[in-house]
Amino acid sequence: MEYVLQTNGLTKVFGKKAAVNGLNLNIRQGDIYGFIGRNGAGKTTFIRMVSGLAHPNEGSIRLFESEELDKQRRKTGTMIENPAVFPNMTAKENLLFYCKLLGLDPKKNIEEMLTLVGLQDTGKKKAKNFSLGMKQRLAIGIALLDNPEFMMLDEPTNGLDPTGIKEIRDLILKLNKERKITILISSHILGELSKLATRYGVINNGVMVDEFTNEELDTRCKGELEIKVDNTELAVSVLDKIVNPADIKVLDEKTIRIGKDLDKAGLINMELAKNGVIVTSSTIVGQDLEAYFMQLMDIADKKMK
Amino acid sequence: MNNILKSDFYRLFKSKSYYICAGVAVFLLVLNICLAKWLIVSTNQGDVANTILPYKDGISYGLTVFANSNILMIIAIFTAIYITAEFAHGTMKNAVSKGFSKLQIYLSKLTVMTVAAFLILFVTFLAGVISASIITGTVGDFTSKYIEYILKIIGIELLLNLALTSVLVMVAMVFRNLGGVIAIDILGVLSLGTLIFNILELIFDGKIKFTEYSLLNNISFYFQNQTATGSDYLRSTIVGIAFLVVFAALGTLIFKKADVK
Repeated sequence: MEYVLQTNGLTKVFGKKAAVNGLNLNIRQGDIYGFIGRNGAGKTTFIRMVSGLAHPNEGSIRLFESEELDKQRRKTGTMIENPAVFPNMTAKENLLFYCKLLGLDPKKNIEEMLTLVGLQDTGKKKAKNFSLGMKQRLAIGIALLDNPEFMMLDEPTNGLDPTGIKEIRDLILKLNKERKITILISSHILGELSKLATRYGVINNGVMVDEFTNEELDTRCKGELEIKVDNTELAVSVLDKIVNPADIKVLDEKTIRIGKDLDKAGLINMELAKNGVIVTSSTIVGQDLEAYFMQLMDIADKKMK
Repeated sequence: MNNILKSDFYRLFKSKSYYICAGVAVFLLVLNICLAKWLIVSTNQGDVANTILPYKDGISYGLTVFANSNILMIIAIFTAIYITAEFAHGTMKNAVSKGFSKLQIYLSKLTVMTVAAFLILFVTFLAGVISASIITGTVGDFTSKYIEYILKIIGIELLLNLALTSVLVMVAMVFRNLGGVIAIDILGVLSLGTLIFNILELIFDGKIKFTEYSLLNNISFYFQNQTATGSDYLRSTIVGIAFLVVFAALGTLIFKKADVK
């Protein structure tokens, strides 16, 4: 089995607005898939459809390469939006409830899970008195019962302090490495996501803008030559003869970026000057995931207009 | 289905609000007969005793729990608390996302709420019998005719209360918001529910006795009319089954179609 999740043309419409619009997404086994998008981009709606909480208007979902979704969902664990725990129960009681629901042996599972998520010392403390980080970890513990092969975590680090964020990050990495769990994680904290994800999907207005691996991101985010000129049209015609036209991106009326051939910076400046193009600046710029995401969003917004 | 039931029963018996609701129901019932007795003693009006305290023994007072509006209201409130909490805490999402069918989830909630309601009725019935036996000095008449009557009443009232639970569960599963559900239960189901049947009867100039088919009228019928006939029992059975099936089917259908927040 290669794919854990595949969606084809998945669409969810609220009123007249498509929250998710024809989304195609593929998650391979073993991936930590970073799902990126602005607020309201459709990330949560997408996860809710995959987990059976919302009905798609169109499109199909395949889990573990099967369309028997209810059966396959037993092999998944989800944490959507706020941590879903019973506030008047202790961590142990919460896990006992879900052990009964899933038909698991409480003796085998509860202590192990409490230790795994670091809540073994909470004793009789009710979940309503937990910190947000503890609640998140308990919700992850609940999602982990029944040994899921695929987990969907929607904003698991939302509202956490740096220590809490690190705890969740370490836990996710541990689950992926030690338990071989494939993980879909949506987050706004892109710097944080870049420390985890092996593959990314960027969604904007319900549409998948781009999908790429961590290696591809490295390539895309490595330095680019940014030149500012007085005439981009003329400059592009000159550059076409020096570098691969596919590597030339015109960002605005005065800015051009060249993705490769950084060693040709001197030649490029000279050729532009020779052909009457005034170069006002020439710099090598690098990008992190956040900058790359913003750039993708800009491009997507321009396309929509 | 077994697993959902086990987990739902676990949560029911861990729920503090359940014990509080049952306690309040018992307290109100005992308080009611104590106040009635106190009124008779303090006013020294033996002739009005039968109006104030119409219960001749413990069992006849205990039986009134089935139609006691306070107890029905407490059951409605607890049903609302128990079910809407799953939506408020988001825990309903966990069961659905684990692949349990919505039909199973709905039927489990209906079963657990029925048991919860019956247990409240049973405990309050016992409390009513004990307190009224102490006050009236008689437990009850144990002739075979009276026992047969009691068993008939209990059987029909349990069916009608099961039907009422079905209505309450449907309201909670569909509206999902605690305040809204309690308001609908108290105003719509327990207070104005009968009004609809009155209006229908008026519209049809009383040609069809719609009020006889009101769930609440049937629940209270056996405590207003001691001479119920076989056709009354038959009518109540049909009303009970109809309300149970229609509201369970309607609730399941709406819950299946709706997204879970």
